[in-house]
Amino acid sequence: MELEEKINNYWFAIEPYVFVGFSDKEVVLYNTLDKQIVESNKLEVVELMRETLQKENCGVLFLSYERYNHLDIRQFIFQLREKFMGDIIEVGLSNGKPIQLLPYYDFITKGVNPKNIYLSDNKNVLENLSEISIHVDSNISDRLLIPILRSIPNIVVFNVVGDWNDILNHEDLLFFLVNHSSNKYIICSYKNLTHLRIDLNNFKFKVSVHLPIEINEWNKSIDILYNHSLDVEYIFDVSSEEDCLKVELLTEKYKIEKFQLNPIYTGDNILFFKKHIYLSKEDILSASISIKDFYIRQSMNAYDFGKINIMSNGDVYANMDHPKLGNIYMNSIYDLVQKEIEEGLSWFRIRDQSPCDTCIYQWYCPSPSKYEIAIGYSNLCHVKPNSKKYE
Amino acid sequence: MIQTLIHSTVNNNYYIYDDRSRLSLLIHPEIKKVYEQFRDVDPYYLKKYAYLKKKGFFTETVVPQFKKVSEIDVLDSIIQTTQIVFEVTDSCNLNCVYCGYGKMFQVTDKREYNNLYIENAIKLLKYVFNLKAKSCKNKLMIGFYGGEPLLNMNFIQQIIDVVSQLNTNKILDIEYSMTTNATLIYKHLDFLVANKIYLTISLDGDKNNHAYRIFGKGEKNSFDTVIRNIDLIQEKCVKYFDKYVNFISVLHDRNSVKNIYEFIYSRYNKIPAIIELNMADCKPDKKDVLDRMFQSKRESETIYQNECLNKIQKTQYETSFFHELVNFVKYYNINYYVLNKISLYNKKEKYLPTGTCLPFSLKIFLTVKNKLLPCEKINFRYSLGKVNDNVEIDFQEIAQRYNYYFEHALDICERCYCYKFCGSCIFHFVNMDKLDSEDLNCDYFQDQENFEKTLYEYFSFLEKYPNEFFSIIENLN
Repeated sequence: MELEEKINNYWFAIEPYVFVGFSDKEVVLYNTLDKQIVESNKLEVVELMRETLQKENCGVLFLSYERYNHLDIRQFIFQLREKFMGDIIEVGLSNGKPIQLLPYYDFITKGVNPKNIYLSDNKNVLENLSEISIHVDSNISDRLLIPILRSIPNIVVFNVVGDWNDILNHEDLLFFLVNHSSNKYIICSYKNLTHLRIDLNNFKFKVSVHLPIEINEWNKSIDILYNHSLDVEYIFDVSSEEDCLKVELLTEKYKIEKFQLNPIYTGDNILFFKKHIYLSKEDILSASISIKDFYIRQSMNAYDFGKINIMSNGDVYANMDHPKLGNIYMNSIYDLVQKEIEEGLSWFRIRDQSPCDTCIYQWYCPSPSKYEIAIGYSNLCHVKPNSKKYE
Repeated sequence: MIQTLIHSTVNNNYYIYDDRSRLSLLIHPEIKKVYEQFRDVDPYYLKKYAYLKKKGFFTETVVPQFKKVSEIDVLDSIIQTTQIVFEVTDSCNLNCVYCGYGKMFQVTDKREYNNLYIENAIKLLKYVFNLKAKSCKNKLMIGFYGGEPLLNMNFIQQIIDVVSQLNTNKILDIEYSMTTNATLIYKHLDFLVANKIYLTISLDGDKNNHAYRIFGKGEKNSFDTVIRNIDLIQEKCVKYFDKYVNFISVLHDRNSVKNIYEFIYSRYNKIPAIIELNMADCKPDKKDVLDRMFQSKRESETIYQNECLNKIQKTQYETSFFHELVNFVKYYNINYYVLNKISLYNKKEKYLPTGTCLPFSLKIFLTVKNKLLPCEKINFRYSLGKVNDNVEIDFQEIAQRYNYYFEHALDICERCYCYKFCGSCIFHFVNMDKLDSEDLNCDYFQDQENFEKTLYEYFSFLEKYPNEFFSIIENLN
């Protein structure tokens, strides 16, 4: 494992599949291929890593024989090599300095505004749209809405959200979507799910369930959804451990395999959240995080980016907990998307606020979710428990 | 099938390139020895190689996944198109020796001194405007092409008026552009300036360099007239000249990249676009003549880069090599995800074969014979629709036709290491006009050996100029 002992200078590099998280005095390296970690709080090591990642070194640092033989550095490199997270190459083996093309992370520190990429002259801002949720009731106008939806690139997912009977009343909208090549979902409660139009077979269903269930309605919905062999996912609202147990019983009894739990913050169930939602260091580092995940977490909100909600009165929100962007009947879809990119609070809500901005696990954590907004803290973790209220 | 490979650089450093993950890894030379099955390898690198193999490097060969064009892709491309270009007239007052519509080429639609029917142009405009979403952020360029478009100013004036009317509801961000030989600018300068029309002026360098661009009668070099007009713009309309005037130069045996850059930059402080002589569809008996006139851009650039002592700083970013390097960072490196955020959510990436644009996604070109094409650089035999009483575009037929073309390219693209992005348009492939009888041939095909050589060039350059890597990423768009 140890290299032959000669007086060598080295090129030191970490592998591009390794992510490096810094705090003032620590460094945590994470191998995206196998979740291995190397941590250090040694001054020399932190400095070594900082220098390696400086632009002028382009991912490769000259490591003198003397520096290599500093005990902390030598041990650190030993660990890195053991976990295949970095290496040293004798300088004499090549005729010039090599480079390591690392992922370009950490836009903020480097002074690059990631929003500029989305507003590039060469890009159609609508290409950033990935999902549109249309909230329907008796007010929404299919006649006005359909031409707008038609002008949107065909990569978008459409969700039709509302009461089942209201959804069925929008025949023109459903007809337009049935014939659209995008993925389509109907998101509704199990209540009132009394009959089904056969031509909705190419929709997928997300059926929300708030506990306790109303058994008659529940049984009717189960009959209908099963009879038509639809692609159904259940979303169970839970606000306590008792709710979780109820869901377990229901899913067992009705053999429901495809379901999600949707934790609801009620204002007085913070202990439930601290136990089940808050993350510990172990939770954070045991998750499988890819290079793509690190890109996402530093440049966009994984839950909100690319999504808009069109309410029945035409109001448009990127996230319904944030101010509206405008109205689809009065503002163009271009302007609404552009507004979210330039001024919005949702698509680019990342962990750049205190206390996350000084946390070594800043980008190891998932994007801020709706729970941070509901509970009112910018971090829901046990790593920095003295967090401050959301700004 | 695409495999993980190892390449070197001029400094004798070694790198793994893994297409599957888009990762390039600096490696110890011992890894290369393991890869090449040498004996007496440091045991650590045997283990590291085994680790990388376990994680998919070297073992998971990639079979590129390609997608098909659908009807909705065609409609969507028209809705999102960024340019409508009109062949204003097929008349031209010049008779350039190398002109693609001239006597050395097999021309699909003969030049018959026709102007484009304004009614048909308006029908196309109405068709596209109807589909466009209303917004001042929605950009649309209206282009005037020829022949020499300034020979039909009446058309241009009318189109600008009509666009202005159509746009009262849509409030699109409209801009105008024109490709011109600049011989008639003195007559229309005020109009061009008033309407902020972007000009691309054809100029091949100094007078000797420009000698193939001759007037139709008398074969006189057009250089003096062209320069007089350009000087007029520069003198009378400084701001317009700075922002709206650009140059395009054809490279041939009477000029060079060096000549072109030095003349145009020193005189006008602009870096021109340089294109090679069009060789497609030349008459068999003229091939020798054209071959003698042809000069490779890459070779001329290399001479300029290597031999010219006082290079213009900005030109290093305009070379074919640098553009290809940018595309490498943009499409073949892990930093692809800096720009392509939507891809962060896609588990399986699919590509269109070749580097052909989706039909009409970049532009809709209307010819004087009322044909619709996706670009003015494509032979008119490949028209995708017509404008007669109505705009006739059959989305299904276009999708089927493109899929038919692409099926013939699949065999090449599946084996090509540049399958993710190559920029080469299928309409310019060798044998494109003989699909039923001959195999297509792509001039830009890269097998493993060629791709290793390409990576050798890119990484040798970046080792020498590492800051360019960051500069490329920070300027991606």
